[in-house]
Amino acid sequence: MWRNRKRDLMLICGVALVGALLPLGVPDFVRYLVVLVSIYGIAALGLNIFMGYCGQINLGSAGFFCIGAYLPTMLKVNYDVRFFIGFPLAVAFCALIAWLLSYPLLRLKGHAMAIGTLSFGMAVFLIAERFPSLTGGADGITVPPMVLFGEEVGDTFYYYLILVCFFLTYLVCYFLMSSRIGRALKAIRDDEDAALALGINISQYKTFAWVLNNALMGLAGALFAKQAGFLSPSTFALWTSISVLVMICVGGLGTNLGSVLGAAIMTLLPYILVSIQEYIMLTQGVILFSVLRFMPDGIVGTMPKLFRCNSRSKQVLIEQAEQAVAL
Amino acid sequence: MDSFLSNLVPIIIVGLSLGSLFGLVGLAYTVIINATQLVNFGQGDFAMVGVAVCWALISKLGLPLWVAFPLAVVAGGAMGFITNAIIVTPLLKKDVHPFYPILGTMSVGTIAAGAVGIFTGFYWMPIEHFLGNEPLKLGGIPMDTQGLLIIGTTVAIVTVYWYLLHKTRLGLALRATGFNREVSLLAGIQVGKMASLSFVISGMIAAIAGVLCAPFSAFTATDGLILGINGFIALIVGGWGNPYAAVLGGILVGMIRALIVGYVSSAHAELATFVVLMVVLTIKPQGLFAGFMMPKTMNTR
Repeated sequence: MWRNRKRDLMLICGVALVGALLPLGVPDFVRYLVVLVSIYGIAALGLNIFMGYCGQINLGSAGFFCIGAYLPTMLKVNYDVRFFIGFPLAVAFCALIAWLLSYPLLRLKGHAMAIGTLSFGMAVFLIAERFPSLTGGADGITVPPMVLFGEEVGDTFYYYLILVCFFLTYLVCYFLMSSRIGRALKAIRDDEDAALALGINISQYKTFAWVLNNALMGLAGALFAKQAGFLSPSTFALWTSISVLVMICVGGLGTNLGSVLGAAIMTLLPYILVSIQEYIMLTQGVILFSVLRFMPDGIVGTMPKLFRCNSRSKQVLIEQAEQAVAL
Repeated sequence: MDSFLSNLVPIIIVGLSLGSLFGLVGLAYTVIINATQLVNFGQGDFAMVGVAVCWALISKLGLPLWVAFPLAVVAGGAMGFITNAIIVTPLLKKDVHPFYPILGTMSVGTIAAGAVGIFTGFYWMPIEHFLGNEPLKLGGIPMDTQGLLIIGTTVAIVTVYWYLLHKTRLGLALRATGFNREVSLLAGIQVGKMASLSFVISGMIAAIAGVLCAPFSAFTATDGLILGINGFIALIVGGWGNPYAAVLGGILVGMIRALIVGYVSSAHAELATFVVLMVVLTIKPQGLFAGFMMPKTMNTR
């Protein structure tokens, strides 16, 4: 267990180092892609806590993404509040709303929770679109430049800001999910009644996972606003919730690494297919379909099975032994 | 006050027709839920496929509506059959997260929407009003013929479905499958076939709803999702797993929406739908009409 952790941390540090050195020698376009992957990586990590580890359903994550993006922007435009104050405010506000919503939503189960969260996402989208005085309306709004110590913040600084946010998020998720809290969440996912019997406070842990999920969504949204430079409500329609969901399913539900891999694949895909823009929806559908149909455990869950034949044959032996015992 | 009253009747008609439409989609969801306990997130896309087929047959091949409409309904049924065969049944056989089959239906819907989108370039797929654009004057009040047609069709479909469900052996088998899968299997009901049949029926109803709705609003490849969401809201507001409650819920949602469009503003109408949904989910999560027309033993779930 501990050796695994050491290996994982080395890996994370290695990737972080590569990320940190990247701006020195690559074209701006690659940097831009790294930023996008990091933003969606944060979002996917957040959703994975609630859906992958806790086993609940959240189809309204785009709503929090939207709030996170709009709040600092509107504060800056209307009240000239600085971005560096607006960012934490956005995350805190998302957490607050999530906490308030947890009372009606987290009592629901399965399908009802799906439609409840989905309706929240749709409601936020509609507010963003239909109330121009509040959000700039359907025409969208330009995000003003970020200022630090009287100077406009450059791309390099922004790149490092996002990178730091991403790796902090990853580390938090990594340590949290291998801690007592993570084990409790997994227990709730696997069997709620059994978890209750073991003395796990289910509603408290669910609320925690839900609030953390949506706070991270807000963080991703806030970072996205500056990156996009222009916000329009159509960016935050239901489709955004679904594509983050597709990311964590492709990577593998319930694994931090999988979320990031899924985010990378699904974000980079449009740029590989950039010449055939119309095919993106079809492609995303086909990817989701194939992953669900042929490798339901996602990439991270399936890879070890493909490469380590030993463990598989070991598993077959165990199964045979179990059958023998049962007979 | 006078204008309030003179506006009221047309608004109620609009609300009823919109509500029947949502109710039909809600009914389509419920057909599948009753047989398999699954939510089909591709439902709206079934409707969209129906619209696309109808539009393509009329505008590309020049077929008349009364030929294209049944073919579109058949296409919707085929979509249902395919969805069940290629992803839902295989996933149910594996031991996966219970949300996966639902995601699977969503993936098929997305593929359908993407494919139709490539075919149409994500543009509108216009279909003419079935009975002409001229509103019907009844007692001096103009009424949209398409709206009246939707209301009539909904009543007809609900009646047929009720007959199928409660008066035939097939309906008994369908109900039994939903009530208890294992016992139905023991009783010799072909459970897998019943699930497949429910997907086909559901796809057909959704396609009917889609084609009826298409003359009202310009339908694009991605609009199926919105119709699907409204239908699902109807189902949740009405009552889980009760086909008649889904229609009633749809009518309630449609009425609220029409009244707000008529007297407040169209900008707030969709928002109001979600507010109603949130309120219902908070106060009465099992739905407002959960027990409506259902025997006592059926509504315990």
